Amino acid sequence: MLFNSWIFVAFLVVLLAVVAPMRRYGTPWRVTLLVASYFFYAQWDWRYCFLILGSTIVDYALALGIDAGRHPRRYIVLSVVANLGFLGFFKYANFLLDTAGRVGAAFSLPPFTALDIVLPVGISFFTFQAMSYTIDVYRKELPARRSFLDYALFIAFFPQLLAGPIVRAREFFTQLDNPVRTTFLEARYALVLIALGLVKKMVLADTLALRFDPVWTNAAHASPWEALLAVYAFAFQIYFDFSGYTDVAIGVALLLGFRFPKNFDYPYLALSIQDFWRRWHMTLSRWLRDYLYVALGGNRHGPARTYAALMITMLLGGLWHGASWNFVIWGGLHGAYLALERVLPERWRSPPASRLATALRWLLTFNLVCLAWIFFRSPGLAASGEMLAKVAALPGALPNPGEAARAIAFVAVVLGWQALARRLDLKHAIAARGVAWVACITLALLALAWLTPGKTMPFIYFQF
Amino acid sequence: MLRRALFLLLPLLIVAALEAAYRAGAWEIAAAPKSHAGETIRMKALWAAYPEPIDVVTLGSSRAVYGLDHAALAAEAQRRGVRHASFALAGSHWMSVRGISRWIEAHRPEVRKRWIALSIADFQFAGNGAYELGIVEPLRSWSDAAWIGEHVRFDSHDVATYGVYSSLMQYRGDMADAITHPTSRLRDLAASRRSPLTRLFDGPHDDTNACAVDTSTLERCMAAPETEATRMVRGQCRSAHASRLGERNLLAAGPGGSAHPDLVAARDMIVRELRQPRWRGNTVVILLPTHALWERELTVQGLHGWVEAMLRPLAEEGSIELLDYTQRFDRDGRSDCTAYLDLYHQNHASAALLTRELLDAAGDRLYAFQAAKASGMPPR
Repeated sequence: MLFNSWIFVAFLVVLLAVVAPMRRYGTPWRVTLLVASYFFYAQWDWRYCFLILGSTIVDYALALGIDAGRHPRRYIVLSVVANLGFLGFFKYANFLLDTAGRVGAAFSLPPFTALDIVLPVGISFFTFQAMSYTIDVYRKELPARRSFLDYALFIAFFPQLLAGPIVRAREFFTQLDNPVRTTFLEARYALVLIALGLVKKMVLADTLALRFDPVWTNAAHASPWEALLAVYAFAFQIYFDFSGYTDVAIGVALLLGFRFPKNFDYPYLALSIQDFWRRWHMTLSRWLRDYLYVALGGNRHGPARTYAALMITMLLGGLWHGASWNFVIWGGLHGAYLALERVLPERWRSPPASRLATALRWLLTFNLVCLAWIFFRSPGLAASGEMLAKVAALPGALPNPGEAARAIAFVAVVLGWQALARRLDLKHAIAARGVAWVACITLALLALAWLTPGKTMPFIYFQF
Repeated sequence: MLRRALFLLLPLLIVAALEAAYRAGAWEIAAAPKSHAGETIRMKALWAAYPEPIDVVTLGSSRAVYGLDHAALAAEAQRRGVRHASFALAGSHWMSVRGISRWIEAHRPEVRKRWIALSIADFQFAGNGAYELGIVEPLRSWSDAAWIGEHVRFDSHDVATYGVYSSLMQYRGDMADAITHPTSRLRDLAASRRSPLTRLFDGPHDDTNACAVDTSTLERCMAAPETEATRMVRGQCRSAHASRLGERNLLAAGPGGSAHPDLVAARDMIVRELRQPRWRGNTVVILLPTHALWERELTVQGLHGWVEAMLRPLAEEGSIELLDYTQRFDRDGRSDCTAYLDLYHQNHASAALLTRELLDAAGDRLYAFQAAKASGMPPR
């Protein structure tokens, strides 16, 4: 069930109508949300509900074991192995077999047969949530949850089940234990998030996808200017797609009484790569920092260990997105960027003193991010090479003022709008003013009716 | 609480009000003049504004627009003391026939006879796809989604079919174009105001022919070298080939070797329309000349016989007058390229010839009027 489908609209309306008269946060309310969440997931493939249930039971039991105090280390290792086992089998088995086959071919060994595995949608997200929970219990930052119902709801809660935001157990359980009703203003804000999230996805991201997908699938026939435009367009497509999804998820959760953490904070306004990662997929960045980077030593053991930890974190962060060398390179590039930023002298890292310096810093950051997107988006390494070659050929290409103007205008308009929206805190401002709210939601509905390309595209992050 | 709920519903109420405004024709003043809806809007305006009574209407697709000499028909009608106007629109199919007939019943009740000029290829389907919704949109009333849905099935996965229920959605392409290209829309609207459509009593005059391409087989037609002279017909052959019916023997594709259920459903709907009490005895069906390539390679096999079997009983019972000119420009199984301007349409010379022939053969019958079989709006 996609957020951008009629069946989801019907599902949400019915669910809100059903849970509204219930006493919030009571057992029937929780049971209803859990059943609704499993129903939501079953719309994709009901058999994989058992996978979520299995993962839930395992981590619930292991957390209780950790909390009991006897052999906590043994239980946490079991939990990590179980979760990475789930993830590894469904997500990386064929990648590993393929890689092993390639290595084996060098020694004239027969190739491995690929397994017929369907990647369960959302597995990367709910597995990370489960791991964060058991690790937090192990670190004694959180007591193990006694109520299986609460824990099952934490894992399966449908707004964040398929593509995040990756919510921490403490954040979720605190809200379960200390109920705060959704206010009228919050409901208005939630509807702004949902409406604008759908516009981002269905109008902006899908239009960009349909316009530029042919360039990515056939980069060899694209002109250098087209290639550049396609790279910039993808940067915004994935942002609109993923942040649009997140906005809807946060909005839906808020309507149900849950306040989810922010996942995006105008990332393309970042002035450094570190700044970018504080604004892009913030809940994943936070997860990687707290459970991987810190576990690898963080910056506590000197520069060499810090760079190594950064590199490993970003490489694994890349691999988390998918079993492909392209994602590894994407993560590796970001790791290298972050490490290089740390090598730079302090004056290069401090806030820029002039507007020109700010603009140059932004330009460099944005283009470095876009360079990495080439690997993220291309269907394979060869295609990445073709796209890079096209973009690299730009200085020698015939000047194309039309395409150049379009590329600059496109980036300028979107980023100008972003800067304005950030400065005015536009979504909250709209929610707070009655006329603005009505106008915003009405225009969003009309945009969804008139300006969608007519072809529903799946959310990009569902494949992860 | 109620006030808050109403406030949250306000955007939906505004959208519903807009939907009502669009259904009432609010957007017609700004719709793209060259779109399907725009053509209908302009034709509707001509019909609505024409001050004299009209007695006979010609309905049909671009095959009717090009395949008949509308000026000759108007002149012949005038000689007989009646008035004969065209409401033929490119892309029209059975849904448009139904929609225009209903509009005429409501807005020009003096019209006594309708001529439906189509080709046998138009009897394969109940509609011409979702884009035919654009043709009927400006003619719709508030409660006709049910019969429109019989022609274009609503599919929640296909936005193009949302127009079955919603005028806002039907105009979505038009709105997107107006929003993204506002200046060219204004230019088009100004141009269309300067040169309004004058097609009530006339049609296009195109005297080119299709002889630059060998249309004896689809293969040869598609293989024609691309030149300025061949581009149109060659392109039509290629696109017809691409959309060719996957199952050409649909007449024996249903259970027990019966006709395919879709063909049967289309037939039943057409028969129902042709038996409408309001038009019974006052409907002329003209099967326009159809290039031999269609029946030989593109349409359902045996379609001509299927259509005859559908229409003959209606003619015999007096519901319709049937004139079959399907093979009028064929000889030895091949079509005369000098009569066609492309794979679909006759040129003006052959249209004039055909019109003269049909008036000579059946002019008296074609302009004879039966007493209405039922009063008031017929049930649908």
